[in-house]
Amino acid sequence: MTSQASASFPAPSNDLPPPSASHAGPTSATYLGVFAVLAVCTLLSFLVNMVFHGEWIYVAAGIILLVAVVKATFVAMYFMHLKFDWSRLYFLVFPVLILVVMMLLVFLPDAVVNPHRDPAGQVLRPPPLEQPQ
Amino acid sequence: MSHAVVEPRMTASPMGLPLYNGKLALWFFLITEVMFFTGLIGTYIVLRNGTPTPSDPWPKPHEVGLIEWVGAFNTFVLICSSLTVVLAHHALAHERVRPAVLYIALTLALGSLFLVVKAFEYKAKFDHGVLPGHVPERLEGQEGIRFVARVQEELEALVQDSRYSSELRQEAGKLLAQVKAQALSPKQVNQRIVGSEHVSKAYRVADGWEGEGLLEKVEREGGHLVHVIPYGNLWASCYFTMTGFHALHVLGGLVVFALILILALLGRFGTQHLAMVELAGLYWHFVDIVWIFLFPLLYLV
Repeated sequence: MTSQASASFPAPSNDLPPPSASHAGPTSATYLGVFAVLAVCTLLSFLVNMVFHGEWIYVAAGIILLVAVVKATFVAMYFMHLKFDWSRLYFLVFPVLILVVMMLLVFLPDAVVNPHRDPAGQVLRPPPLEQPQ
Repeated sequence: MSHAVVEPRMTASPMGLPLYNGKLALWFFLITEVMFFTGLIGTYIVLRNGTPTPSDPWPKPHEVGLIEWVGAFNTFVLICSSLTVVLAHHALAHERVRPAVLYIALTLALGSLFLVVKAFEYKAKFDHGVLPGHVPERLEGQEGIRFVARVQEELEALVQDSRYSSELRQEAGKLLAQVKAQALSPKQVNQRIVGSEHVSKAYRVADGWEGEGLLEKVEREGGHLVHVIPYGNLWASCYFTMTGFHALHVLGGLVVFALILILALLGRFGTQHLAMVELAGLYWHFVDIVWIFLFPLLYLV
């Protein structure tokens, strides 16, 4: 017995068909709700910056950056559909989140230790430029 | 005898990711861009926190012409554009082509508005001389001489400019006379411009002079005077690099939306472009996320 494969047929494609309406995701009401949250968060950041002064600026900085992380999470989860596509994309997103945190941690010593200060806390300035003769 | 014919598989292979190629490729691209901006932002954090001192703090927003509410407005504009692009995708997914086109047009308009506001902000920096390498920081030797020469030039122009009030021109004239007579050191000139209350410790001169600087009075009348901004050049480098690269990314996104609108004008846009709209939207949301972090880091914190 012999089997004869057809001489010409298209190579099987491993690309999925493009998305259709069944992949529409959240409703427009959800999108509007997320937009409202983002707008409120932006206003909150702005107001915190205006209200907190003096020694409270570090608390303000913490609140503002936390609000930024919350906003970015909402945009990623709902607008970028990560909440619905997480099982398909976690292998890409998770490592890059780890790398981002690692990169910022690696920079911490340089951000905290200032090599241009002497032990007394005085700034070590470079000497004035040489005057041309 | 029987012949077994291998039928070609016309459906997607069960191997591989449950994700179409375009989406996978775009997410790969986005994570590389995340690392790109992480490098820039990480560098900014190191430079900002690791270099300045209590006597030479990092410039405050008003010292370099940053207006917080303008940045907040731009953030709101980008958030609105993220909403419109996701509504465009939603409409197209439900085969409502015309609303989708309108939402894309709105996204393009909002993105363009963001760039216009950015252009005005850049112009303000250019007008105030806040550019990398243009902000005076060292007042010793030749640098001090150059600084005083710049001040003299600006004061001479100010004194003859009828747009300013006569009181301001008189006061500027007094300082100009002292500068021409070389009666003041570069640090003293800077202190007269910035004011005794606002001059940073490293540039303070204990010569008994106290008062409001000329700079505030000039700025109240819409002008500018060159003065020392500690770490101003570093600030300008960071600001223009980060916001410049972000603006280029915004421009790239706007090009894609413009292409979609051209397709729509030619009558060729339809539900078959759902993937294109989804991918353009993903890219646009990423651009929005970058600004969500840039705005507080540059304008607020």
